Amino acid sequence: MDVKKYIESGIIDDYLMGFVSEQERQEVQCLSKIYPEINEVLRSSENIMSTWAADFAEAPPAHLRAKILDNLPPQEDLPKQDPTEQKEDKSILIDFSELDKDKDDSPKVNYWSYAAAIAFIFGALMVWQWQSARSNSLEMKGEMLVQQEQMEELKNNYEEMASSMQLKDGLLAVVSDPDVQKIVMGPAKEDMNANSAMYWNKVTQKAYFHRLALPAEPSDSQYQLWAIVDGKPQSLGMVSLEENVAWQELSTVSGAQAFAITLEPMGGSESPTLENMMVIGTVS
Amino acid sequence: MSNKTPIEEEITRNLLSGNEKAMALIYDNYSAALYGVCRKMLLSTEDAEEVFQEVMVKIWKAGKSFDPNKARLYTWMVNIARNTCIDLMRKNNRRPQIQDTDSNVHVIEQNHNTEFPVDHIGLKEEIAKLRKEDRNVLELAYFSGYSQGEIAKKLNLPLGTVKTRARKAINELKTLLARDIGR
Repeated sequence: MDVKKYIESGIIDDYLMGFVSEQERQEVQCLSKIYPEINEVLRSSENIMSTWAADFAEAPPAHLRAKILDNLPPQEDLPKQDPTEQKEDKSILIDFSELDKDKDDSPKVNYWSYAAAIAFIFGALMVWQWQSARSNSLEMKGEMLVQQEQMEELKNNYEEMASSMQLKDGLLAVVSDPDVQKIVMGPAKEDMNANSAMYWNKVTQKAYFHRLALPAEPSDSQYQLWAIVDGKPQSLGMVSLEENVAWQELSTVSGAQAFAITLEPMGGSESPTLENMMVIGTVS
Repeated sequence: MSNKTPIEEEITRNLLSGNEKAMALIYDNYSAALYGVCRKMLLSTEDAEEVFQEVMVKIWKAGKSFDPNKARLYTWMVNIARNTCIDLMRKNNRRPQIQDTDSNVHVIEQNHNTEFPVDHIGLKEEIAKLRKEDRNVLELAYFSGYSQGEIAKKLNLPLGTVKTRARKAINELKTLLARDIGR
């Protein structure tokens, strides 16, 4: 089994997040016991997650300390040997010297010795076969998991491509409509590196927004779109925070003279914060 | 594990030899981290307090089975806390509301307790660098026990995107926190 490939498939992280089937869960647990490299990655990922968990630390109520420490139950004693481990099998012990003895000496003992020898050889064969079948099946399971992961990766890529195609089709349909006007929105201040575009259908009055280059939003802020109608700002909604959403269909707007984007607190504002204007473009 | 702290070693020694001092040390050094996990996962203070006590008892009872060669003490305890919380969630068939996740993060971040012995100066600043959408998915999976499908449905995202985001967040955490766990 290709351990490196298995690790790179990302299944260990999926396992930690619970994004795996029951079968996959058991396989990760099983393979981590067989391959030290897999175990190491699993432990290290677990350490990362627990370190992250410390970020949510909060002191428990003070009275719990005594309540817990004064009422500890007896500790559980462990058995000397792990009961799940296979014990050495001493049930079959054969004296092979018996086989060489004269038949007349003790035929009954000889008969049993032969039987025991055959049983032993047969048993050993069975064990050998079982072990090799087990290791083959584990390897096959590992390969299958890697392939399943690859299939899923391909499926994800396909899904993403399909949705991107759909988006581009929509974009093409809008921009090729002769009634649609493109309004380029340039940086509001000279030293800014920002621009976007608005597509506005003067007949249906539908507006579309294309995010070309806007700096990433600070975590507590969001871009808001505005149309200037009769000299007054009118909100057209928020710029999506979703990754890969560069194209948005907005509500209809009539008589827009200009379009602009400002940076506002998460969820938007009633009226634009003018000093945070990023881009603006006027309708010709 | 090469990254054991002296306090972890002292606790492990006492835990394995059945000395109750282990539990006092665990309480004084890790109660905030463990209780924080319970609070984060269960939201109800009542449940969190109850489960936290249960977790401490479990740590003590199972203490002799802890193998320092197989796991880090702190991670082992966090896993116990997480599993106990998930058990209760399943039993009650109740989970924190998905939209509460963000607001809750902020409340808890304000209460952040610095007793925790792992050197994580700057940890919060580093975690804040994670994209909010990615972190959100990771929190829902790791702390709320939601399945991939449930998260996709609740956040209205394609199934593949949920996995991509969670993996992205984990990978970023690995890069950001590698220093803190001494790797």
